[in-house]
Amino acid sequence: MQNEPNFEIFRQAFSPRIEIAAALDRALRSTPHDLAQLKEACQKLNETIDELGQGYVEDQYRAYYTAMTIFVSLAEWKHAIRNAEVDAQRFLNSAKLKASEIDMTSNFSSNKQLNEFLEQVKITDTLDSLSTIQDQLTRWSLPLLLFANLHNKDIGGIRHLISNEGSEDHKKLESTVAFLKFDIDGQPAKQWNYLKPGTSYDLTIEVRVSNWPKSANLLLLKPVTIDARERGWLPDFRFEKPEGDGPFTLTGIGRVILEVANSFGSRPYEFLYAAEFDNSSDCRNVAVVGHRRLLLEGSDSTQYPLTGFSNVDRHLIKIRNMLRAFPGLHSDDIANTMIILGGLGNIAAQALKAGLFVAGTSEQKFQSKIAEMLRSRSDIGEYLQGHPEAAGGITDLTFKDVPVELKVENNKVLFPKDFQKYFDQTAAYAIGLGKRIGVLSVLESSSKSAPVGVVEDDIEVFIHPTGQTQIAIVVVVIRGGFPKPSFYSR
Amino acid sequence: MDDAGHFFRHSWDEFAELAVANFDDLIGAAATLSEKYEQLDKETILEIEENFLDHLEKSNKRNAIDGLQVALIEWAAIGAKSKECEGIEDFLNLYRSLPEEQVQMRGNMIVHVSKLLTGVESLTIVLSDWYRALMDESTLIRARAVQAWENVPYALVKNFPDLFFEAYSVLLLDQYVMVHKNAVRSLSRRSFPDEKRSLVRSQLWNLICYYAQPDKQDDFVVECIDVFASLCLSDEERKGEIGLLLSNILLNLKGSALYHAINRLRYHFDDVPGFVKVALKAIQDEYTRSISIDDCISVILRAKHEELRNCKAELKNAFDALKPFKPQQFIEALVYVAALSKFGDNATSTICFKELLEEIPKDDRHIQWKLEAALVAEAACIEHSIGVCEPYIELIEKWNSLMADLEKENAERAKLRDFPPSFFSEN
Repeated sequence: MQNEPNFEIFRQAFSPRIEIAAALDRALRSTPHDLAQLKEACQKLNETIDELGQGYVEDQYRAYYTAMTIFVSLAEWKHAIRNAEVDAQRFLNSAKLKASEIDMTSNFSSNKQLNEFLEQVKITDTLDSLSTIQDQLTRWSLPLLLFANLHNKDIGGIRHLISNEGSEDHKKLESTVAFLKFDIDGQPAKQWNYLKPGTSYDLTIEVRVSNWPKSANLLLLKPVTIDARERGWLPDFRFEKPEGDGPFTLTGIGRVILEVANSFGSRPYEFLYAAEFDNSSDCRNVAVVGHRRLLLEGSDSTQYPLTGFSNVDRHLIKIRNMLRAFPGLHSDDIANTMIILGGLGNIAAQALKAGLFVAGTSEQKFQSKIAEMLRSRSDIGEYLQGHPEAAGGITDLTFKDVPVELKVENNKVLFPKDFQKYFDQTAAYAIGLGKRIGVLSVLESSSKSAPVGVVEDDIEVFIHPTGQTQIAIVVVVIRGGFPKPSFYSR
Repeated sequence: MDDAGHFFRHSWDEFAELAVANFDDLIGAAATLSEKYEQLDKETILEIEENFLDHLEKSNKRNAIDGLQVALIEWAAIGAKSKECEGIEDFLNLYRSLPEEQVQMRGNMIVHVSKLLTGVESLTIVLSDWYRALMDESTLIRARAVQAWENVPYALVKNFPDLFFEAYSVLLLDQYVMVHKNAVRSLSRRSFPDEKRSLVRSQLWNLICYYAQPDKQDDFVVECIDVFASLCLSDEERKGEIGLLLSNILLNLKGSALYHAINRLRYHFDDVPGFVKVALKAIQDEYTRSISIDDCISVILRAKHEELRNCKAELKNAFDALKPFKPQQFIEALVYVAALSKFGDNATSTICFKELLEEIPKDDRHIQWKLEAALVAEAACIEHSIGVCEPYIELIEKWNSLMADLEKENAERAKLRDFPPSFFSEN
């Protein structure tokens, strides 16, 4: 769109437009002179429209002109019938054909008035409907074509030049390196992979290469990692150009060793395999697709236990991985939650092992015992707050602003999914404290007649929808009310 | 120092051989400049109260030293890059050996770290130091490290690990202005890969909310909105409520920020609802008018008719603000009338131009202007009459008569072609 008005085009377009408007009124009358005037005005408008480029107002003029040319055929139809000409119907057929041949993908074809007009032409079979069509056309007002976009004659030349220049580039093909397989010791790599530090594993990699660049002899697959010390833990892969035209499927095997264990709270090691040809000058681009990012967990729970119970630690690692996959959860909140879960996991395991809680333990007693046991852990200690306010209520406990809601169930054996009635309360505290995670710990101390308490079943993560967001709720069920094991044999 | 600054300011890869040969000299000279920089801040033995000119001189010196140091290090980086891994290691070893307190020099080295990149091998070498710089205690180092992102070769962007992108996105929330401003600017020049853009969405939105506050407003909010819209919004979101929200934020801007909003977003925000209102505000803003209203006119003329329909009052106000009309504002008046007519309001167009016609003086100098304005008014009146089924044959006759008058006037003027056209239309 030009920012300068074009008066010449404005006048050239508007003069025939009003000539059409004036002639349109009389075009169906018996005098052939008016129809001739309409045709002449249409011709003039066409000459101006030919000069126009793209634009909304320009399209309005195109739509108007298109409708007028079809109306001219309809007016000729009426004149031919009036004059008893041979085969007058051909004008109507012509109008209908023109209407059906309009390119409906063009911009002007979306014009509402044009579409109404075309619909009417389609159903026209008698002369009676012509006056309705004429009425509609006489009410068709147009915007002023003051700032016209013109066809730029030079654009064709420029396009031609560009397309010639680009042709060299187009001849170059895009090479694609697709990562098909990542196996660690024969098992497909997952989102998170646990590798024991100091132990070597086999890493098998399979890639498919389409359009190997002609100038390249080697394809290098290299792991990229942030920390310089981690370079060399994962193998580089080097593939020479195979014979033939491809696409090629290449497989390589190398050794992986995590030399240093990472702490339980730290991020896993991250490696991203990058693909690079030794010379890709005759290739437009190298696209790398597929799973090529490895997250390797090297925390050593034997050396650095979290709860003091190895089975609980293993399960908590899974819980942590699930929390890490929850979008929008801050890594600090995950780390803090894991610390509190370490404490609660320890209590849950102790409760199973030593029968800490008798049947019918009161909520008050449970709360004071839990707070006491959690505070005695060196990594929790003073950071555990009792009964702070949040969301207009009083939370049971918070650890670095992560709410810990405590409940007691003394009636029957229940599992984490059965405590959904407490989720809203826990979520409300979490939101009130500005977190997207909360912990719900329930003492289930009903009298037991059968053994329960597998840790995998008692600690679970739930994603709880609240309003427009979601809150992660970790439920820890602590079991109580166990009889002596010999009771089950009676 | 100024001469040296001019000489080293522009570096090209063609000078790589020279840079390799003088690598140590370049780094050595840069290090010496660090000392000079530090001396500027040292207290003088005699306590003399500094006035404005002293401050200005000191600031100029500081800028000159910094500029020369940056240029020298850039040369050294070009030399290091040409020696590939060995050169890059040399460059980074020097960087690592710098004392922590030499912040200026470290910052000017890390800002060139992306210029060392030639491929995956070089990326693995520099990542560690670069990442550490992103997390550095010094604000300047973080700001320079984040600034380095803008020069990463496009082909290598996909090979950066997630941890790097996460660290970068954290810097968008850095409390220091220098850091988060550099982070946004670099992001506008080198974007994240598609799948990593979600990392910066909430951070950019926070910045927009903060800088959109009336007492915090500056041009930076426009940069944030530009980056946010281009990286984080889908086409549907741009055309939907989020787009409208962004337009409303822009609508609250004033002065320089408002001018930059139109200047920077005029092409990207074509499809964003409400943006034409921003252009209509900017076109009446004194600051924008003192520079140029061309971009505002482009936005108004390109706006969709549905959008313009919502701006009828604004268009009329903008037209009324032109009173008393001056010949040089005729194009602007035509823009408003064209916009009103585009969404079918030929009645208001007619009223506007009749008002304008009445104010054009009836002397010979203004005949052409008057005739052109009369033609536009008549055309709008005819279109309005057609639309509401009122008789318009007399109006057509008037149009034809005006056309004849204009042709006559043009023929008269053709005899005086030696004068520039502006001679008649100005004053």
